[in-house]
Amino acid sequence: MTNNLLSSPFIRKPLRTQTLMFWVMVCLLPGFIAQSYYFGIGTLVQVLLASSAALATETATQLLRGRSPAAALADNSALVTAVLLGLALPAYAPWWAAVIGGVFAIAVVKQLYGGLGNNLFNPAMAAYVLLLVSFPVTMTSWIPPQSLLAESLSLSDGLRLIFTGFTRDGFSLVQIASVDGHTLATPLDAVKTGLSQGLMTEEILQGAQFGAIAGHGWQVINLAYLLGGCALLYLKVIRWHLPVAFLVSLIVLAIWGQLFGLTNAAPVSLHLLSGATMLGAFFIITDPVSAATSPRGRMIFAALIALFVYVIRTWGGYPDAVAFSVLLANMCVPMIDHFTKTRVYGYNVEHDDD
Amino acid sequence: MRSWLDKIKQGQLWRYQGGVHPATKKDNIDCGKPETLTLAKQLVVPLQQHIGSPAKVCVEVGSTVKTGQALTESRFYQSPPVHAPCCGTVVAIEARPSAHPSGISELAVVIEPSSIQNEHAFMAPLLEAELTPELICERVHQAGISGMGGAGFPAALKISPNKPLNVLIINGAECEPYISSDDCLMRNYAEPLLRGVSLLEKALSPKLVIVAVEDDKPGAIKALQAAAGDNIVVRAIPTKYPSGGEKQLVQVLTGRELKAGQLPIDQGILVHNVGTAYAVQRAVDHGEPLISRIVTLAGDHVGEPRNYWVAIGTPVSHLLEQQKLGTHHQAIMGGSMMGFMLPNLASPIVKTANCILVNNTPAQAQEQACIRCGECAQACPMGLLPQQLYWYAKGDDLEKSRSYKLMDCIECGACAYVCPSAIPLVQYYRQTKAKVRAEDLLAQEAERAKQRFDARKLRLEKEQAERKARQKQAAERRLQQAQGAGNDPVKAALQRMQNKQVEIKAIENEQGELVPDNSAAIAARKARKAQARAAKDAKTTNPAVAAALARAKAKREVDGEQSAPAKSANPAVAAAIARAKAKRNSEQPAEAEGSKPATSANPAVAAAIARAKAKKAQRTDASQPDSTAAKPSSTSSNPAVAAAIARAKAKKQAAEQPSANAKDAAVAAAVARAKAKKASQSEQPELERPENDASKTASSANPAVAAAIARAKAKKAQAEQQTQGENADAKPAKSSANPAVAAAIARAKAKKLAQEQQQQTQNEHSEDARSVSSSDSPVEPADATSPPKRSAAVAKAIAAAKAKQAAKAASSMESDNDE
Repeated sequence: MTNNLLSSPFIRKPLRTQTLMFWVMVCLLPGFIAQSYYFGIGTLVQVLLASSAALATETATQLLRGRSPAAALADNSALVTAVLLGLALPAYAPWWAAVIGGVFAIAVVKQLYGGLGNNLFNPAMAAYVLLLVSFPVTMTSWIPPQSLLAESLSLSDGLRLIFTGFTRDGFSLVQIASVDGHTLATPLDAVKTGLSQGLMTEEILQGAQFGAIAGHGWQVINLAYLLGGCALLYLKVIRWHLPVAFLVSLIVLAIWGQLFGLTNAAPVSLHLLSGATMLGAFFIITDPVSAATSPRGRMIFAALIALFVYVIRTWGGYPDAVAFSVLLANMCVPMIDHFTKTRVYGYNVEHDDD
Repeated sequence: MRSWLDKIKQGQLWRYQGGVHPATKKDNIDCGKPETLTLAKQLVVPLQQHIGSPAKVCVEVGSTVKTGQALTESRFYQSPPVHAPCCGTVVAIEARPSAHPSGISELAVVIEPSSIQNEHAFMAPLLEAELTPELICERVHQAGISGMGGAGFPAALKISPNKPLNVLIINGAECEPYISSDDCLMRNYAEPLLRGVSLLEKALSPKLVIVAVEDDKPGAIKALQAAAGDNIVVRAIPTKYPSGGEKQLVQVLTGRELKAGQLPIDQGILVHNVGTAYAVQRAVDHGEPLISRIVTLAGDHVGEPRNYWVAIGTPVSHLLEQQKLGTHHQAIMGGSMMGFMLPNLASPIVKTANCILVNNTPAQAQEQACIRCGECAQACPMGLLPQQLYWYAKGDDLEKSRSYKLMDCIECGACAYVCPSAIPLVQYYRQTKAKVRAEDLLAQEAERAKQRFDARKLRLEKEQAERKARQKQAAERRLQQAQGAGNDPVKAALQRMQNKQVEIKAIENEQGELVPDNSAAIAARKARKAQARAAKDAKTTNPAVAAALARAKAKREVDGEQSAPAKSANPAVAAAIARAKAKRNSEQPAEAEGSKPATSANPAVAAAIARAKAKKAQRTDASQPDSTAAKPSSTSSNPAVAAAIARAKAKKQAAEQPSANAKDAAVAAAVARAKAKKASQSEQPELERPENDASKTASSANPAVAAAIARAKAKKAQAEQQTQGENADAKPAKSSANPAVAAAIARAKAKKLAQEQQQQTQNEHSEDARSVSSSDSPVEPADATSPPKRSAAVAKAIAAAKAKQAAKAASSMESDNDE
């Protein structure tokens, strides 16, 4: 008989943190595949770059803090952060962008706050915003989907672009991204630019980069993320409160914008299926660490993000706004938590009749 | 709208938030008729198997017991007794490892079963006709029934409620994984169980009785439904952990939420376990106390998981042997969610032990960081925020823990069960709860201590105030006395001032050391004059009083005092003035006000100085022993020195030849004392007679006799004075205070004289007496022997000595007055 006395309960649900993280990555696969299909090898390279940087940083910081790196790496949380960052970066952003982002996300945003569970901000989004603010041109240089490109980017050209900035033929990213002499931006970018030029939304949507619903490529990618998100819900890795509250709020806001005839309002479909909407809804705002804790609080948190997203997309200076919105909402979490405490059993009881 | 009870009757069920669905693991557990476990070699019956206090042991070591015989007894329902589970002998009543997570040893009766088990000491079954609620209640208590669901609340206490009961709930939910003892009981003993329920119904007369069973036990539900009459509702409830919790079950069945701190009975609801109901039936219909129970033996290592009838007190190890399980296993008592690991397999099965689990020791999963996933909050049936509680527990933030209602945690373990980071949340909560309780206790104690301290402070303040009031009163009385005697405090203060100045001069002189001073000569002359006056006075009045007066006067004049309050006929005033002066002389008091006469040791200081000086003189004189012996007063200008020398001489001589004369003198003194006493007894308050006596005795050659007479007189006079003082406060007896003072002075003087006399030989008597008396009285030394020129220091020392005596007398008088 050992003296290893344990405390009840003696059984546990088999779902562990590393398993949760693992499932998150698995559920990212459809979106990743779609993204790779439209943007080539770049996405994978970014994910790998960010992951290596993040894992290396995690190991280093754990060692610096005198803790076991193995235990920290085992929970897969750094990997998830890095994968999300890699997916958020433009496919052919220079290699140092992903590295800086990975290092920053882990070392500053996560470990400086005390490691997993203690960070106030979503590490992937904080790193993304750092890069976006520091290197705005680089970070908005999304090339059009491969199908829209004059000539498809080869594997080696993709790698050259990332690591040297030029293809073998000496084209820069900007040159490649332009079709027929003018740059093809992301759909949201295009809408913003178009609207600023006084074009009607309908006119803008006639543009080459817009497909059936919300932009060629992007709509499929978003639908793929939606698929992965549903899988997460099914696997009970995440609960419905955050994504549903976020998407519903965004829809409501978009409809409201259209109803009231805001001239610069993008249609609902565009809001839902372009940019990082679905990735954000299921994979980014659902980061439990930096989200509110109670179900009610989470719904408020998600609705707040949706509001920020809509406002920034409509009136802000940036085409997309998920990263900013998440960070802004992160700041509100302590307050949300404070005001959304659950009612404890036995307190404030109201009885119906006898 | 349907009424609340109707809704319940019609089968409406409510939901409670949270809860989890762990695998029940009950499918392979044999719930057939349970086999009765053989008796172990020793049965250990702990005295306390319930919430409350243990009852009193009523057997002794060595006594034989029969099955069902009470081992403890108590009239109080919070102390249900325990009973012998078998026939046998009590081999020990001692502390044994208990069925508790700590394994702490608790007092238990150890019984060795005898080989033949054919006798029992059951109570007589109760007849249906005579059943009353009180009788059932009493029987339940006598049978030692306490809640069998886990908490072990004394059942009798619970079925004697004084509040109206709406719903009686019989809890057969058994929501914990593995445990199937209730299931087994319901399946195999449905009829007696329901009979027990109706007995409880009889005792409690509720409006509605519900037997609640989770729907994963269809066998039990079927058996109960088959046996249940119309008045008992058997209700299947959804399987969810922890539906068997009292609060949760109440909510599921009635929709009622108990307010924090409320008991179900506060809402007209009562919950009993099915095991309790069965035990009630056994106790009432068979007279059998609670001496055995059904225990589930299950777990990974148990080959044939099943239920047993186990005698209370059976060691867990004995149960494990049934399945060939060695003692190297770790056993869990209770379920996998809320049970606890037994530190010792010798721990017995108690009334609340429903299950023994022998599982693979779960590898201590490494606790990971909380990722705030919120699963715990979803699982918590109490609506708590476990991850917040975890943060506060880790940070030792008891305040926050409280505000997040940690103390409402029921420790069901649902949060820890779902935690993906394998954090032992319940353990954190238990520890923090203990800290909170400790803090509460400390706060309580601190509060109590504060109250005690405040009370003490108040008491001390009150006492001080009272003391001050008393002192003030006394001071006022004294002041009144002084004023009544015609003494002006302002004048007195002025005099004191002057005294002080004089005193400073005197000190300077003293520092000048034996420098002849005119003022001193003047003072001496004045003293002589005063003495003459005093002698005149003495002829007419009490000589003792006269002496005191004279002394006081002399002292005043020595001090250079010109004004003559001494002329006052009141010697008490004179004495008081002398006392005050003495005080001034011996030190320089900082404050001018001196309504309080000094009772300090100042005169003593003066006397000490004189004594020291005398000693010094003696030392110098010792160089010329012959001359000092022959004519001490002529060689030494200091009478004190002379006296001291004389005294020293006398001592020496007394040591050389212990005198027979001394004996004679003592006898004479005793005779005189007796005489005096008689005289004082016969002579009543008139003051003339004692004075006469005193003068008469004063003429006697024996000073001791005179002294004794004076003392006796003084005593009498003092007693009189006291009564007079009471009678006439306004004029504090001119005459009454006098004899006391005078007598005291006389006493002191006489004592000294007597001492001297005892030591002296007759030859030296006259000479020594003169020198001794010269040191005693300022009156005598002033005359013949001493030269007119005398140092002021000497005069002062004499005055101080006098003052001391006066002060002593005065203080004794005062203390009498104060009383």
